[in-house]
Amino acid sequence: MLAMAAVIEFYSEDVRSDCLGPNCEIGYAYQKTWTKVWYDDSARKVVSHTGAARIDSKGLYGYVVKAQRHPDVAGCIGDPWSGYRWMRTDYDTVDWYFLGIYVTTWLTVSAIEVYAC
Amino acid sequence: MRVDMMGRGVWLVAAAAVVAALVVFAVWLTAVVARPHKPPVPITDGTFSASYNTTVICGGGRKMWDLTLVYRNGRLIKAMLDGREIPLAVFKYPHGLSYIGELLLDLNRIKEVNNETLKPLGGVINKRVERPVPFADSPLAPRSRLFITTSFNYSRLVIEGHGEFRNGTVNGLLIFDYEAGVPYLFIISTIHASMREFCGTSFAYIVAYLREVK
Repeated sequence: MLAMAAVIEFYSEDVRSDCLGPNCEIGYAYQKTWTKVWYDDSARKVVSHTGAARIDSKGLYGYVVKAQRHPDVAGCIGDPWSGYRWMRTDYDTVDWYFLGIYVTTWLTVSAIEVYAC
Repeated sequence: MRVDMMGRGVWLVAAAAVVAALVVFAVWLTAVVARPHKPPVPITDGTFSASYNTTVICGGGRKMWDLTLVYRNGRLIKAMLDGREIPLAVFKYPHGLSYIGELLLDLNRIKEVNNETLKPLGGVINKRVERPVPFADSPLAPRSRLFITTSFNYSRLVIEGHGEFRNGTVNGLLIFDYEAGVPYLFIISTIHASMREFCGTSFAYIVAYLREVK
């Protein structure tokens, strides 16, 4: 009997963006928070995990990062009645400017839960 | 003749620059000035009801619910999630794993709390004043912005009858409008049995944006 172990990759992302002009030449704002978890389904364990932000601006857009948590929450959470899950969340808070004038603030949050631990 | 052509060229360049400046100005007007103006958070005397657009991540998914917090003299006296009352213990440490819930329970504590306060609990807190700017996902603009973050590491935390957290880290975020006296945005994590009714599990990760103050 040969048991095949497999490592599964889980991915989550939260994206906000804005584009002005052809090919976004006048202004481009992009904010992504992402989370990845690798899970070994034979050992039923989280092998590895990571998360980060991708923040890009072009043209007349600019930004200031206000808060980042990579990870925000990471660990084993649960109870005997509903089971235990391994969870990771990430977030980024960024203030966006257009020609130096404040426009908006985006909060992007990504999260993954797996039945492990 | 040559001088005339040079003069005409200069005028063409100047005209093109003016047109380009007008285009940029029009785009700027569209992007910045033409945006709908958000009303400021109403100033309160500590007694108010605040409603939040809330994203709850738990039980394998994201749910969008309304969260209402009712305050009397800066103290939380009632909380309702999706129209159903939830125990205030949801916010209390250690149920509220990041300690932010303790600050939501008593807004008067926010100005007192500092790094030293959290050290006995094993967590750290950071407070700073930021320029007040509105979040895209809130219809209100804050008058002021006190930015509070917390961070805790747990090897094993067991809350009898509710659940546990092992080998991990938990952070928290609170943006408090100290001029209005109202929490503007917060991210909290909680382990409480009452969350099973909403999530199927006792753990909930809650992201809340201020929508309305009465």
